Amino acid sequence: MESIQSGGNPKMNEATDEQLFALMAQQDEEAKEAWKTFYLRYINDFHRLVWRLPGVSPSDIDDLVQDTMIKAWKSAHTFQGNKKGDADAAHDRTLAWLGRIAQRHYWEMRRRKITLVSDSEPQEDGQIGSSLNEEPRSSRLGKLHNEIKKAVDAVTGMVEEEVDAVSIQMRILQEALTTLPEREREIILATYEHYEPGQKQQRRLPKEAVDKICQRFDITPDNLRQIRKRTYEKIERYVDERLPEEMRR
Amino acid sequence: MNRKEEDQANLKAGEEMDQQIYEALIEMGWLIPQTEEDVRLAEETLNQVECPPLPLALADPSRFIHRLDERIEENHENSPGTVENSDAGVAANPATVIPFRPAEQPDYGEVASSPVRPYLGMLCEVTGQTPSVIARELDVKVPFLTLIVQHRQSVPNSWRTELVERAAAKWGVDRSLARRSLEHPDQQEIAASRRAAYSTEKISYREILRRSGLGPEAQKYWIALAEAEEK
Repeated sequence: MESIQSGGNPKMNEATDEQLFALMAQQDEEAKEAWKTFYLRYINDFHRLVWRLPGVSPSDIDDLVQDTMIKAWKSAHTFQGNKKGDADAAHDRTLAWLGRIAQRHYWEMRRRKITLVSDSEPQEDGQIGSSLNEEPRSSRLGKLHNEIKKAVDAVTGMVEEEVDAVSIQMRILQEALTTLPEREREIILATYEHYEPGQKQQRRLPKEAVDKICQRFDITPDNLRQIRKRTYEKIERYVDERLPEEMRR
Repeated sequence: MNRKEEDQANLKAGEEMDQQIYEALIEMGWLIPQTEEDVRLAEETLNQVECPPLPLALADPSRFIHRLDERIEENHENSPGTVENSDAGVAANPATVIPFRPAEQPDYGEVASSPVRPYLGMLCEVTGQTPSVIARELDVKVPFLTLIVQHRQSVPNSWRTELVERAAAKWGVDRSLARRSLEHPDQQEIAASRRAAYSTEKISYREILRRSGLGPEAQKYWIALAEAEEK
């Protein structure tokens, strides 16, 4: 958003992210100016990255974004820039850094909402979030589903122009994920809370997550393991059945 | 293929699938990007999707720049034990960084050793909620909660009682803990030592209300409480 990007201190607008973080780490009045510049530089892009997160309301997303920006100020002294990288790489690096800050907060927020609901009266559709004066979650999920379909369609459009086995597989995989029932989707999502790209053998759930899911869906840890195993098989089957024959394993 | 090779092949296929699902979730916006590669992946998809405009509530950082001070204050008031964090750990995973260590630590004297967090920080800790949720639940605004901590000496006792009662009613917070968090730092210690723990200006409770972000009706309520105490 240009009007926002052009705000802030003109002198600081020229500063690199690394310079802004160095100023922010001083935690004085100038640091606040640096934070405002940093905020205006990233608020749009960061909000774009998190606005589709499931399980929380739009106002929770606003809180998440705001809290992440405040935490960025607090953690400014830990930021490590990439001196060799170009501007785009630096931009992505900073957004990923914000993402790592936001990650923990997001999952804590989700768990709190689940606890709040499970402590109150059961919801009509057995879903979370609807006690919080927000749009019913089923409705938001419907919208989300439509948004995802739109994204999938957009990807499909690209595929028509540029036939790419990976893209086709990815599109089908996304379809598979959107068709999962609530319980299976929650279990799969929780599996990826602590996932680290590139690391091996990460199909494990933290005990806290296991406890919450079991409590919420009234299942035992053994049930959970079985459901997760079946869900993976289901996803795999969904993809295999829809892949063009020449692409199947 | 023998059994061992088969197991390894299955494991590898499983790991590949995990990675594919992870990438799918990143593209769908169901997970927050954690690496530069994730960010690129997410942004490529976002270019194909119509994103909502930035909410007005987030457009102006001046609206919540006061929270920077609030957090510094809370962290200064953490006991030294809770501020420990290795630089290596901090750099490796910024998400784990909660405490803030300023470049120049002001002399807070007795304040630093007090075990009670100020009201808003204490409530965040006890309830696990964010300041904005706390404020909403207490039917006040975040700036109000920040100002009553920053200008404790100007806060009428009746306000403290009211806030103690609201926290007790809403979350069952112990009244003595809530009251101490509102009187934090220990007034007696400060008086005895005459150390300048508060460097902020002295303002009236009406000025607190003026800066609080509360609506006119709510301001009237708090003024009535203060005036009742004065009588």
